[in-house]
Amino acid sequence: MTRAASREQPTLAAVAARAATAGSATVMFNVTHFGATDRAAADAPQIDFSPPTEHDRAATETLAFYPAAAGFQVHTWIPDSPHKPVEGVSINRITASPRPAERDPATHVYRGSVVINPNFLYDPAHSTELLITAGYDRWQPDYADSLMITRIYRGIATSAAADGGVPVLFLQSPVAPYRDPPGRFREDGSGEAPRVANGLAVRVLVGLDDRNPAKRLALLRRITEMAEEYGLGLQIADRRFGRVRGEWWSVLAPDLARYAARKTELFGWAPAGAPQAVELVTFVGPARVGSSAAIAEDLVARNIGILATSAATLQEIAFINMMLPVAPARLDRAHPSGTCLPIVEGLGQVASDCGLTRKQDLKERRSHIALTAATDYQVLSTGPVRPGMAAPEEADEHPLWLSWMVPLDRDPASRPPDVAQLVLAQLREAADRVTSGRIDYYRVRVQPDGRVRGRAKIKVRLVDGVTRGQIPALLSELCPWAQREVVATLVRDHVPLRSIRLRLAWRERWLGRVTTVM
Amino acid sequence: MVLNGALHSIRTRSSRTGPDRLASFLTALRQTPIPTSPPPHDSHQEALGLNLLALALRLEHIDRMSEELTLADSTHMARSVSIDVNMTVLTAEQLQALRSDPSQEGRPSTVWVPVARQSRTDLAPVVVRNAAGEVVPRLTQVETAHALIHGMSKAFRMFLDSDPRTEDGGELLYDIRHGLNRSRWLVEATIARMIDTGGRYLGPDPGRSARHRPTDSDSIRDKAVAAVRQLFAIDSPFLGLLDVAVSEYLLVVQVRTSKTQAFLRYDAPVMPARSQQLRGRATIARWGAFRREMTVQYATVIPRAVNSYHVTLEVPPEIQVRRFFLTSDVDAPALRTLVNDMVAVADSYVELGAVSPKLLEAELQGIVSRLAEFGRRRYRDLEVFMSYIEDCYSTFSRRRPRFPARSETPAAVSAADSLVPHRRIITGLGHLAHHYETDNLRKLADGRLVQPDELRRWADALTSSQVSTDIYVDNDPRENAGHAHWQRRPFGSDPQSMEPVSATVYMALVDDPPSLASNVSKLLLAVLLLVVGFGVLLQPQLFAGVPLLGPLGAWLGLPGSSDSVISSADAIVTMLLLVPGVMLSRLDIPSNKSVLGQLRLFPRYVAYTAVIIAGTLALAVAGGRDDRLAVPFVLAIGALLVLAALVAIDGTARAVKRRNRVPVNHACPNWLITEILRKPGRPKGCTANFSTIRSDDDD
Repeated sequence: MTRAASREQPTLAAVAARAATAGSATVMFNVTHFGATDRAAADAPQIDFSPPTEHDRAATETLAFYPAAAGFQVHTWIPDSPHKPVEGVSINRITASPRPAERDPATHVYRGSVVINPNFLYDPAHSTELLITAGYDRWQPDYADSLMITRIYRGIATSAAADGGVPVLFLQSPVAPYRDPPGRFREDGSGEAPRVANGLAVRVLVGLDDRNPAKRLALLRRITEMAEEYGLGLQIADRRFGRVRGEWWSVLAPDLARYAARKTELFGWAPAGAPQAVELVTFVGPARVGSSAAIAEDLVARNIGILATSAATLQEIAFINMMLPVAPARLDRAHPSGTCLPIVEGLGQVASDCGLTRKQDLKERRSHIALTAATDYQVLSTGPVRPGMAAPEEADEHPLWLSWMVPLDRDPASRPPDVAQLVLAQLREAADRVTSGRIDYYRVRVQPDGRVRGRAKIKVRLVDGVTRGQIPALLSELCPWAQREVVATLVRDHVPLRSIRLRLAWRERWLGRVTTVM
Repeated sequence: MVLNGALHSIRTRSSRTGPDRLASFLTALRQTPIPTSPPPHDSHQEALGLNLLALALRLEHIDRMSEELTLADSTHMARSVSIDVNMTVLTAEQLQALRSDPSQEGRPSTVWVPVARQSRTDLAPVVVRNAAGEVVPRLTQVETAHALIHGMSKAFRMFLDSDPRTEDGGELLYDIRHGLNRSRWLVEATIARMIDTGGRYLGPDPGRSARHRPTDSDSIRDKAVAAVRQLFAIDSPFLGLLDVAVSEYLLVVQVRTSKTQAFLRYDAPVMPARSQQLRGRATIARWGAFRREMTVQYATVIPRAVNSYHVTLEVPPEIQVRRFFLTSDVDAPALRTLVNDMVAVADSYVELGAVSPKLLEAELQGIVSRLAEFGRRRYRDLEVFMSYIEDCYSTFSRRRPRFPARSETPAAVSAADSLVPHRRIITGLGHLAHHYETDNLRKLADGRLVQPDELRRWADALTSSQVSTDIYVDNDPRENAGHAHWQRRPFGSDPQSMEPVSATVYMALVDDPPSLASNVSKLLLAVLLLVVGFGVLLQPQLFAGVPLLGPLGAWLGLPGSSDSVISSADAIVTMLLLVPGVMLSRLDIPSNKSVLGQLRLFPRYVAYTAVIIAGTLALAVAGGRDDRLAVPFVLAIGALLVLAALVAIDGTARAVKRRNRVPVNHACPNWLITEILRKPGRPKGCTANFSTIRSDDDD
């Protein structure tokens, strides 16, 4: 007790000091939902760390997830003055409101504020990571797959919440699946088989309770049992000494036949084919152990599928972003609308749009969400929008991992372009190797010492005619080149060379000893 | 009343565990007057107090720390602390919150920075100086307490505001936040009172009033108690923070922000020794155990961000520093995680294997890889220590010390054998590391190489042999000084622990030749020669049978005079009194309060006894007759010979002590003792123990 508490006290002191300095324990946020109704694929939106409602400042933490033509972006920061962006007198701890539509109809911005939970003092550095894979092929889910993902999400969240619970610090799907490299790609152990950028897989980061390691083992056992039941592959972060993030230990290989059988058995009634429209939903509230499990339980009970999700804790605030497929019967709804509702009403509305119910009685069931850890969460939803998943005839996309650290220029006017955007632009210039590229995942933290630290996953599609065996060599040439050119660009923009840390690699573990989500 | 206060003070200071913290808070809450108006709010003080507390707990802005230790006497230690403060670690917001002039606009030119935490029992004034030797302004404890009160009240309101129950009209916390103002003020007033008084001087718990109908004040207090119980779990970090604010003083100094680095130096209050060995022991035992070396243990805490820590000791040139080393528990969090993992895996071994053999293999590989790293680290420490002892030997002997780890030829240990804990655990871990690196331990779960029982044995062996303790040896070439340099070695990719590192310095101080003992043996020899000389002269018949002295006595012996009175008795008495007296006055015998005095206790008694013997003999010569001197001479010579024998025994004991390869002492990690000694005895405590850690933390 005393040892773990001795780690929590300084953390609490730091959190409280930050709140006291800012004048209140409130964190401001912007949630942006990208997605167009009419166009099949919207242009890639601008992703960077300045919040849409306050262009002149830098968000302390930023998360962007853009798996297809629709996606999310979340910014959080601490206000300079203790105010809340709501009209009228309010004592609510969580507020959110949609912002009037901007010029771009495919962008929906919500802004709000949340009072933090000072009891949630988990350090992302004390965590363990899991990768659950349903298949190595590229991401092409149908309705039944999305319902399976909801089941898997529920399995993970309830396993984490059992026995006093550990928090789910980060959860994302789809992600790049990983396979132990076969001999021809292995080389001396430094090689890796080329991966697809996104597959039907879930990546989870679970906070650890140092006081009770049995909790971690119980969690692993429960998740392994679940993976076996559904025919999923399971990899866990390699805990051997000196291993870094991106090195996986394979526990189970995916059993595709079993997965298909379970899918048919459970959700044979689900509509066939890929979802045509999705609703973008963000659950926001103070981070609390057990809130994910409560939401997952509700989604399973209402037969709501999850096409894509990215749940993360930013400045002790939980943001659970989900892309929920709209039921085919509801597709006729006109234009996208944005709503902010408390969780009971919000889930009710989402269920009426996205519930793939086969029995009407399910709809009538009373939700118990108001009695759980997610009781005061707000639901921001936009939809329906077109997810715009890649067509089957298109070539595979490959992931490139980027990690960087540059000094922050406080003046937005003189700030050089965002590093991830620079790398993307540079990759696109290599037209003889790359046909297209986009940022899939982006996470940035502005550190207290005034440096911007970021991590991103960029997916690129290579030119036709490259065989699978040639891909590693091609990417090994591409990454150092782009890295060098971007550094040169930054130096031209008057960023001192000595303060630039930048690494672009097609093997995630090459980014080195990065243990946190960043 | 005084007694009650004292009891409370003891209980409050030793409140380490969560239940005690909660209980002492609730006791204080029962005794604090209920305010009738809201306590003052000051946003600057709130931010200042919380930032001071956060910085003082982490001390992240301190890059390097050096301590110079001086033994003021054998029971008191003075230390001078130098720290390098890195101002770039402080963020712009922190600088604003810590500004020393609240009315100043823009970037502050000076800020308050906490540089140390002290127990409230150390009350000596501390003067802090900067690199130029100028005295640096300090925030008074009253002002610090004022800021801490505001800060902790703010933290309390933050906990209250963020609780979801405060939005539910039926809950007590809703009422506390909105309607029951006096209960809320009472909690804040309790926080203020506890920080003000240091949790002491609380009266006895009055309990509830005798009347059956709850009075206003009882109902206010009951609601406040219920709210505190709802808000704060037993292990709530808030109560931990409050405990720090209540039981410790922060040393807060003003630092200029114009420079990125600041160097500060202060003389900490003189510490009294904790050990009971120096005081209150039965005197016979003290007389029996003459100190041939004085062992001193100094325990301190290295802040978590400090990557480099120096500790030096300088003693008067008469004293030698025989052994000086520093141990720290920097790997303790890593070892604790490893041991916990081992026990947890052993407990669910069968289940893990049943769910998936690869899951079990992953856990076992993780455990063995970390064991191998511990093996590499501690083996390196062992090598360093052995070469240090070799260096110590080279100062007085050509013979090299014998170490089992070096002298015994390494037997071939199989991979399976290396996975079993050995008595000499570090050598065993070294073999394990070798097998792990050479890929001989690829399959642990398949081959059933590691069984749950072995995991538990490993866990016990690692804990009991203190494998987490590392060691840094003296690297000061001078004989009367010691210096050890500690560096942080992060454990792989593990995140740097938030916990401070506790470090222990062990030093053995001796009086090596040319020492007082050798001078005293010369004095003893001189007195013996003098007494024997006079004996031969005056009582030749005593030495009749002795080879050389017999004939000498017969030749020199005074012819049998008719009267038995010695004619030159005055001269003999003068010689017997003067010669030892002059020699004694030439000896450098220090006060027995000092360290040197403690070390020279035995030779000092020997010298005094020798002089007393000579004096007594002189008395016998002066007063006695010639024919009655035989017995005094025999007694004197006998007593002097006994003293000579004691001196010889003492000299031998010193020589044995000097060749001690490892001190069997609590300050020395167990793994080191078992690696070097075949049959170690029970570890002993040090003569003097000093500690900067609070007394309730060192058990």
